[in-house]
Amino acid sequence: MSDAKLAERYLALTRQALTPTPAFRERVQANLQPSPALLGALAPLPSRVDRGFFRLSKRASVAAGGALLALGFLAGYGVRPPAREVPPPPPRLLDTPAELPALLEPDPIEPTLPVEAKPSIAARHGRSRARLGEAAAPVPARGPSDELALLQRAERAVRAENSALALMLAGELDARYPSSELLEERAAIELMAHCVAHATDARSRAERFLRAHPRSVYAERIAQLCLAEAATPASTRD
Amino acid sequence: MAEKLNAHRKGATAVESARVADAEPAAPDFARVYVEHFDFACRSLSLLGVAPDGLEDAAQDVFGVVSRRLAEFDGRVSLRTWLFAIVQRVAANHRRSHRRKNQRLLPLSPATRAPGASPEDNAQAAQAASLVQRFCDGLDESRRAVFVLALVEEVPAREIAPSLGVPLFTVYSRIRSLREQLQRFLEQHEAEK
Repeated sequence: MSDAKLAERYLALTRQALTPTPAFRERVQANLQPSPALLGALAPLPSRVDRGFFRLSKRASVAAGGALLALGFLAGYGVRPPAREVPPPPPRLLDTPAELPALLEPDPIEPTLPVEAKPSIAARHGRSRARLGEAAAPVPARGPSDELALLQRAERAVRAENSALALMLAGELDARYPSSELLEERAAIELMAHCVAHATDARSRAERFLRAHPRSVYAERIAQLCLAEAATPASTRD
Repeated sequence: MAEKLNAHRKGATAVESARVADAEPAAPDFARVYVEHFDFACRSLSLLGVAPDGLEDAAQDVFGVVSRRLAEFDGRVSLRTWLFAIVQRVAANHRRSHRRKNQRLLPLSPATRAPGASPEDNAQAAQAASLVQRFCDGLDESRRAVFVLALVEEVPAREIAPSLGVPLFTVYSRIRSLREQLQRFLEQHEAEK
């Protein structure tokens, strides 16, 4: 076999190996949601029915979502040993949108126009915008399940000790949902991200949080993660 | 949305034919971009260092940016290279925020395992991809872009040059150099087996 053919064979195998499956493509597609900004820019606005993504009222959805998030969080952390000893979480690809119960699923009405990914992390990087020549357009807030999805993603990032991603997602939530009924959950996740990152003010922030929310479902975990971690000198940690 | 995307997938060839026949630039349409370039984006994300467990999030991020910015696409560079610029930035963000550990040595993820292929075929493809990814990791950013676009995705050099802001001759030169480097790298690997 000639040298050129060797390289071509490897390149062909690489294309084959890295091409996503139809199931993966559909899963990403399913997680994309309509962008009101793009709807307005490229086509007539959908009807009121098309814009109503949720069957439940916003308050009911938020309450159910918050409860589910808290339950999921406790399930993930309640029986968890100290963070340093925990093995890495399962691959993200095994997490499916099916985690959300049916009552929080979007309305089956199919949007007919372009879509936008739920978290726009890349859009939050000013450098990326500048190099792409992009304007910093405000990201419109969407429904509570979108907020919940972002929160769950941030929570997974904390669980994976990926504080940078968790904080980026928390920032995304702040930008999209300045007022929310899940602010306590957001604050808890952000705080734990700081603790995972061993921020110098993590302990004081944790104490403030616990004073403000003594009955929070996150209180025990925050105490374990933040107060114990902050008390440990950085030099003794691996 | 799913129906529209599926319809686009089925009709992609017809759309391309019609576009060629009309010889007029078609307005960017998100569904078409998604259908035609999703695989390209995912392969590029992987080669630019996004770990398998971050691929789904990264793909969402890419097409989220695409959906917001597609109206700004002015056709001065090709759609693929415009999309690749977004992929590069998203991949850089994910590389910074994800710990890679030894992901490269893992077998194919469920996202990319060919459903009809035998386990041996999948293993062989994964091994080849792992080796090519290792080669890709050793390149600087601009050469890596040329490698992914030209050698893996077979994007013509005339499309690559304006997107990278380098002369066409330079792109040809880099392609030739990269191909030679890859060959030497693979020959060395084959010799060590």
